[in-house]
Amino acid sequence: MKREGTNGNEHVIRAANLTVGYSGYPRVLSQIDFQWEGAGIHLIIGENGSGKSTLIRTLAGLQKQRGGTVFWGNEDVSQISSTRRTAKMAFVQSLPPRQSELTVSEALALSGRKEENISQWLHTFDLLDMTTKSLCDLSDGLGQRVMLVRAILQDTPWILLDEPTAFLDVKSRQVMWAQLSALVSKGKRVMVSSHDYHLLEGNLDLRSVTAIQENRLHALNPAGTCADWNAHI
Amino acid sequence: MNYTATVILTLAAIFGLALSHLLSGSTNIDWGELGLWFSNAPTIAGTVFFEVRLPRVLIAIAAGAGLGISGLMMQTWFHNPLAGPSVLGVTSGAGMAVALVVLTGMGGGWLANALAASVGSWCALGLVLFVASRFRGLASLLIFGLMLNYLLGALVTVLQAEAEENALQQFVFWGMGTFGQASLVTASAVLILVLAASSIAFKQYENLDKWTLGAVTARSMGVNESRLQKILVVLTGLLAGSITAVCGPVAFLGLATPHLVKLIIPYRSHNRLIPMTALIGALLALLADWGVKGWGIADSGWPLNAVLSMLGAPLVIWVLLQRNFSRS
Repeated sequence: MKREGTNGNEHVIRAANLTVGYSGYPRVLSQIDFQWEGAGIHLIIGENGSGKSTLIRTLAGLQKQRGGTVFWGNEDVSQISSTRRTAKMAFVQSLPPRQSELTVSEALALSGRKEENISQWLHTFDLLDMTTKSLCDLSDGLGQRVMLVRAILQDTPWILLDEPTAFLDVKSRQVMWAQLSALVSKGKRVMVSSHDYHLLEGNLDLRSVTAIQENRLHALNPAGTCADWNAHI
Repeated sequence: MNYTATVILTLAAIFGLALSHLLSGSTNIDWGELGLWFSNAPTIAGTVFFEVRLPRVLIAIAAGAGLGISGLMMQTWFHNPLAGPSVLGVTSGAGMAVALVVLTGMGGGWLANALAASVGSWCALGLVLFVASRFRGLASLLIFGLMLNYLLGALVTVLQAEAEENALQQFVFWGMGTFGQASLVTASAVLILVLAASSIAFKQYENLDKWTLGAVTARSMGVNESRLQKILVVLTGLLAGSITAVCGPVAFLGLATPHLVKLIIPYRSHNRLIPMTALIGALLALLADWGVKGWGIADSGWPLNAVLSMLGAPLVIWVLLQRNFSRS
């Protein structure tokens, strides 16, 4: 097994002259030079269609960029093997898996974690009654909670979440932010694109806030208020 | 009932059905003469058992298991519960290729047919994959498959109109689907191929499970999309191709078997779906072949595809009614 460095640098996500978007469509964001580092919640905010999802997928190495490079530490993401990538980063899509017939317990067993560990998280997200249900039979909110648990069970230094709260009810949102805060206090890094940041206001774990405005990224003050941030998107 | 018990029970049912096929038939076998077949002394018993009944049972098992697995692979890959080799034109592609070699008198040997059929199904599958990425929604892909079926069917009809009577007759029987044309060698060869393909598919069960969660999530969980696609294409094409070459374009086994399995077991992970689909597919094929033989009451029964459609179509309709399709 490869030894990880001790300076923490290998967990920096860095965009170098990065252009993201789909070929054949207008560019979403171009020439981004930016980096995200350190334990805590890294919030990405922007209007609908501003390119949050595209950016976060590209930073996760799950979508090909149109120019420039994404670095995880000193490594070009496109050069990292899929096995090693899964050890570094977990990802939750904005849409829950509506087509998967896997039962909740089968989906979570894919994490390879012990059953008691899985049940603990199921309990936290109030999913214990759902274990034998198929994902496609769950509501979107329940499906999204399962995918959150799945990502947490992957136990990676980084968790990237694309609009994770879109389908969640108020209680589940609170549970999610509380659990993410608990994870970052154990040294995890969470990047999340969300409209739902008013729940985070004043949260000490908020490490950075990045706004997407007019095809550019702007670093905002993480200790600021929602009203300050909203002025930038 | 737990999984192991279900597997054992299904195996027992397959064994029982296979035995019933081997022991019964229009010819009465003098079992005492059977052993003579090995000493190169041709007897009626030996010929009927080893050249008619045994190959027929073996190819039915192989075709049921193989088509079931290829149907499951396609349903998983396309995230589409109505996908299957015959639905998406893969069987027609194989049929078109076989028509080409048989009706133009180029081939006729089973190996040539199997090769042509595999190439035909790969071409059809390649076409389906090419257009699938451009479609949104489940219905478009199915309609594309339907159109591909029409198109290939039309080409086959044109070939038939031009063909010689002898080749045509051979082809028409093949087109109705049959387990009765296989020799011991071809049946064993296809069975070995099906076993090999099934075990390769089984090794991919975790990747297939992850794939059901969607392409982006699967990628984030370490699934190599293009590698998985290549494996599925090669397996599906080989299975549908070789089985179609020997048995004709067999209907419904690929589409219906995975759904029947999901009615029987509550598990949805491919580590259980794959073995159970192979077993239930084999069981269905053996059962359908009883219908071909007249269900044991009449001297002659129905063509294989007629029996399979009568078993398969109601099952698929029932599954459609159960499933809230608009959500998918």
